[in-house]
Amino acid sequence: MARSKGKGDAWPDLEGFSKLLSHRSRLGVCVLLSRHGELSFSRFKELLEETDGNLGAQLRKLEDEGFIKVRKEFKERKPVSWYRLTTKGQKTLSKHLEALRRIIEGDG
Amino acid sequence: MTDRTSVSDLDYIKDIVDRSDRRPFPSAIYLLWAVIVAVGFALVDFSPRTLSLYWMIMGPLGGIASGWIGHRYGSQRGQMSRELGIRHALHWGGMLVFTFLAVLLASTGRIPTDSLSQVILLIIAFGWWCAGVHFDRFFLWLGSCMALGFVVTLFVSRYAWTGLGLLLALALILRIVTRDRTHGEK
Repeated sequence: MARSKGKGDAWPDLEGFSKLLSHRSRLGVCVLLSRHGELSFSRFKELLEETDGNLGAQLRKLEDEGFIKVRKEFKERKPVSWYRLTTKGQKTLSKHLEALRRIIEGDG
Repeated sequence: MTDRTSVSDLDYIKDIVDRSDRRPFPSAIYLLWAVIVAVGFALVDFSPRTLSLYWMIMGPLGGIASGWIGHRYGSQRGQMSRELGIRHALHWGGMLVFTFLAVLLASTGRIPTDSLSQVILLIIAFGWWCAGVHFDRFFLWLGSCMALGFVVTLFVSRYAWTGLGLLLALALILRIVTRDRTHGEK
């Protein structure tokens, strides 16, 4: 079972556990990118069922941490943002998923 | 974070991954190959002389068209997988190369020309079976259907190829319908 750092701080003190990926939408973004390569903003919106504002904020956090990279292009005069996982993002995701597995199995 | 919230998060992730995996192929590719296969198989019965020329052109052309349709579909959908694209190219492109290599068996006189179609059918049946293992389970049925069709063509000489081609075309079209119904997507 995971250990907490203290009262009000529920982040488990687990090796590889990423605080940034403990948010399910951000975790979802990284898992989808790991599986499919590149996804657009509108595809994330459709799959994660998030509002534009919330999704944009979560993606920006991941981008600021260097977990994902954005590429902009114009399709039929409309801007399309494509996201992909960076090497850092991929490594962090793998470690985080491993930490989750340990929590579930009670090894934490 | 507890094990319960972790399980809940993983259920959520599983759900979005499942939804992102739906309809990996656009319907247009199934439709394209339904037409190519129906015509190509019927040629064995109705115009064997044009058979080689037809497949020499339509095999690669169908492959290129499928790649283009797939890329366009991914771009419109907002989900592009370079790795999946490479796997498709290796699988279907490899099948095409091995099929053309099998032609050498007949052109060098190793096997009678009449048997070449059956050898190619076996290669394609195996290729479609493998596509069922790696891409879309439905291809397992199509591969099995082809393997069964191979046996039928050994014993039935009249219109067996046409019948098999139509059956496969119908199955590909049915796949479009059943898939859209299952996933409630258009």
